[in-house]
Amino acid sequence: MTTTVRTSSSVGAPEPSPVTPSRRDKLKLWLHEHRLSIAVLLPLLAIVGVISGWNFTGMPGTVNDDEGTYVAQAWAVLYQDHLAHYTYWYDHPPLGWLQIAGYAWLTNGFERSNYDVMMARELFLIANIVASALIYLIIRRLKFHRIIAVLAVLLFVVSPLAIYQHRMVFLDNLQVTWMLAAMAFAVSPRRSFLSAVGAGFCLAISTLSKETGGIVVPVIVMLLWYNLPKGYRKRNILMFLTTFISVSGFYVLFATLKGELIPGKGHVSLLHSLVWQMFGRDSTGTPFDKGSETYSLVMGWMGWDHWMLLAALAAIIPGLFFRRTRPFVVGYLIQLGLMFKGGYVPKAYAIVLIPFAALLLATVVGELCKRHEVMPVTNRASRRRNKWSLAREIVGFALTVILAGSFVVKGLPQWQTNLPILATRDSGDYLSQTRSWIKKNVPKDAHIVVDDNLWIDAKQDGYNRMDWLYKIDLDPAVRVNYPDADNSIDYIVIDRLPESLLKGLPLVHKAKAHSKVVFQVGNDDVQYTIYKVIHPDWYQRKPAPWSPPVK
Amino acid sequence: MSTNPRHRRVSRVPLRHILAGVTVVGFIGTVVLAGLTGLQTTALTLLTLVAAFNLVMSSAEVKWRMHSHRTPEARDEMRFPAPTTAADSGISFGLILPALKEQRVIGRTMQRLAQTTYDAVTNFVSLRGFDTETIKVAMRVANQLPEGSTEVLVHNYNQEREKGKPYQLNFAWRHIRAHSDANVIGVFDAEDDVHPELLAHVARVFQDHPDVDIVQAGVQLMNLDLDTTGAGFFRKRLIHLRGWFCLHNVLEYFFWFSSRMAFQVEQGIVPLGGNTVFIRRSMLEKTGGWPTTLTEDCSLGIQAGAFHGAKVHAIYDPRFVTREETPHSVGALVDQRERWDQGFWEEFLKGFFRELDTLKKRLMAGYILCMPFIQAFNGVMLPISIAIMAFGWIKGPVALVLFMFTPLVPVLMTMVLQVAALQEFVKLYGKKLYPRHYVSLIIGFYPYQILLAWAAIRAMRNTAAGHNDWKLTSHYGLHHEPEIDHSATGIVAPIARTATEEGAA
Repeated sequence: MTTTVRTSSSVGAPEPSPVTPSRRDKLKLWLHEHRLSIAVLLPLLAIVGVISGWNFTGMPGTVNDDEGTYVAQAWAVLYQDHLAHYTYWYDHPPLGWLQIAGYAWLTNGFERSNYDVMMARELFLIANIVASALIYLIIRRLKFHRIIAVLAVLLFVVSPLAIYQHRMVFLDNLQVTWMLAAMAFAVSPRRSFLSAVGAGFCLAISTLSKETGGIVVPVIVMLLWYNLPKGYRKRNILMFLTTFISVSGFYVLFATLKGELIPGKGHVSLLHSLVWQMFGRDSTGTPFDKGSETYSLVMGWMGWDHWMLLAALAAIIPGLFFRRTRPFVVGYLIQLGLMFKGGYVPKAYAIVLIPFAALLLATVVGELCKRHEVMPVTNRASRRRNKWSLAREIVGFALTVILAGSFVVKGLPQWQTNLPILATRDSGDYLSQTRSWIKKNVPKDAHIVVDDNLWIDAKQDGYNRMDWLYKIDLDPAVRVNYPDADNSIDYIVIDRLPESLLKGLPLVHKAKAHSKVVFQVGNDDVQYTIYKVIHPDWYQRKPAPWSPPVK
Repeated sequence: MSTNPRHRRVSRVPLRHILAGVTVVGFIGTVVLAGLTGLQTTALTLLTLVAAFNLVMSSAEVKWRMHSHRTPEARDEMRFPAPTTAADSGISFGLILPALKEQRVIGRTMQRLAQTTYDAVTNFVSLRGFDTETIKVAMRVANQLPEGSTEVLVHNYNQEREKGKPYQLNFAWRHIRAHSDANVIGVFDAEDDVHPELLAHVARVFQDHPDVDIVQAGVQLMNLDLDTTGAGFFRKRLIHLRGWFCLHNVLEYFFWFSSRMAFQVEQGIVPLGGNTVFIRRSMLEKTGGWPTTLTEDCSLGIQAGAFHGAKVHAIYDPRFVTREETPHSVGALVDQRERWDQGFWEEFLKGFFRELDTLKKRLMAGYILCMPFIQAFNGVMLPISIAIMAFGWIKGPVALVLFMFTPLVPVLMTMVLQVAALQEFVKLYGKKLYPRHYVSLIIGFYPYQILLAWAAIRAMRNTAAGHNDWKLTSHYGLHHEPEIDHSATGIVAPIARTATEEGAA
């Protein structure tokens, strides 16, 4: 956060002497110049920490087992020297869980924690605080008032939807943090070429954390464009693009080196997975189609906070009028467009909408409330200009009042209902209850099928003949361990799994058909059920040698 | 400007010994490592070190290429100040124009120099006694020019010991010291196209910055292709093909003078350019003229900085650059570069840069002087180290193989910068770009690096073999020199007017 322009507010700061100041003096000067921002930001970040951290292991529960999957993959990186706990198949670039692995390694996470998904949530708490600081920085670098910066951070953090989404171990949260870092670089006041390189690097990391990170390239380019004076744009934007593309390219290079770029017999490939992600996945429909999964997903988000998403949608129109808000309009539209296009919309998709909604709303308010300088009345033109700016101020003020009013009427009640839920409900406990039941009642050599949220924990409890439920059907290397098909399975442990999904896993589906429920816990968010598979009388387990899928 | 008393310490270990020591220690270290951990680990370690070195050096190259563009404010640092007059600034120029076998171009250059808008300039054309053709032209032109504006100095040098440009420069410098009151000495080459307003701006720099001892202004090669006048359709294409290197050479100059010069000035260590350089008389008196090395320009910059704390200022403005042309063939380019590289290398070995006052400056000077060799090393080693790992000739973990590729990121950035700079260049100088230029830019990028690497290797070999022969660009075609007439050594030819009278007599 260096500023090259010294404003009049820094009166009393030590005058820059002709002799180059020592590092300590520079630090002092910096602290002095930014004392107000520091005084605002530090308490703000403390609040952010409390809001994001309060009950972060209890709520939300596990909405699906993606969280567990990423943590298990991070575990595999550290303990199996492998990119995933099963064959890595380029479903996502690995940098996201490599960061989780890094955090776990630094803090001895897998050894100390009782429940590993919650250990990974600590990292996401930190990422959320960093992201908040970055949002503050971006708004300040765009020369908005501190109040606007605080507003943006609060929207980003306090909205119930945000709290709900930010806590989960979804790679999108890391993607957003790195994306915000790229944006902060793009609006650097020094406007140096290194900041363009930095923006490219951060966006590449964002993309390598979650492959969808790259679609905000136009936003960063716009920010760079607006931030740079004429004649300096081309080189810097080229530097940004070159860095972004070449660093992201290492993912492709990695696949190439492993001979897994192009689909072929007997191995996974990046291209195949990419095509599958883009075209192969069943569409979840559009938000307009009431029967679609996307519709119910969006309704789910609306249930947490419909005001922010809709207010940001409305803010697009005033947002188009101002240079400083336009990049966020574009960002929000890109993310919405991808959702309305009608492809596969993942559960975590709201995460990429939140920062743009917060930035857009705050900066639009900032622009609308801007005081225009009144010109000295010298001629008709300046009189007209004054009239115009007066009119603009009135309109801006009116729109701000409407926005604030809409929040009080529509947003606040929902926040008041949802925030206590997020602060108090404990859905995380059901998992540990399930884990304890298994530990107590299931023999160690049983063949258990679990979801990934329980995978590492079960592994650590000594259940070696245990598999992630998807892999039994989909991974040929795992399938060999189930010679008697559905009869090879002894227990199935799952959270509510839609029937449609289960149908895609014939082995598990078949086993579940001849099983009985032996344990069940849960609430609205989580519902863990343990099924014991009833084997036919004639069935005798063959003492099949167990070959672990990875090394 | 004062001489640092710490200078001229004699107790330093010679650089050659240090280099030899480092090599021996490195070799022993490698052997020990190989003995302890096996050949594969050793090879991987070496490759990793090479990749790390490549990465750092390629990144440094991007940094200095972008130096003048690093922030919007940065370019202002190199901006030309407003022009001034001799009455206001008190600056009077003595410009030296050393030449050999340049009868075709010298006349035009002299005329162009005389067109200067600045009012206190004397030009000194410094020629060799046997070079009768050039002398004839120079005399004729000098005679047509306003009285007192141009003097032609002719001297018969010892052709065994006094080969090359610095002797001609020093001869002119001695003449100026004795007979002229010019307080800033400038150098131009015979083929230079100098802008008439340049001197008025340069004088302003000296006027505004009394502490500045040396001003280096921009030089720019102008031709993106070799000359095709009069060539037929197919011959033209052939010439375009032969001139693929021009573009790269042009861009090198573009980056050198518009960016790298400013970077070097900021680091406080400047190997000067061969022309369009202006030195205060007081500084030249301290250095005793030009060092008589292969690259006197580079040596003067280093030695003035190291021994006399000279302060250099670099300015660049596309309007006022001195325009030059590329060498006429790949061979000529390599010869020219070989001489420069040898000059840089020998300057490095002499170790004068070790007299600079801070460690950072000394390291930076070492880096700048070694840059041709670092670039050569990078150019050769980068593809080799990547190939070894990528094709699995030596097996290593994937992460390490990926690391081998990291230097390609800054290399790619350099290539993109080349494209941006090329477009900027044609816009600034009103040139026209054809698709073939882009093709040459991309396809020729690596071959050009190899060309430079080849020149750098030959330069080191020359030093090692003790060759100090002048590999000269065609402007100094010394290999055509006639038998030497020692009888005339030491005789100063009279100034132009007198000489012409004699010729007329």
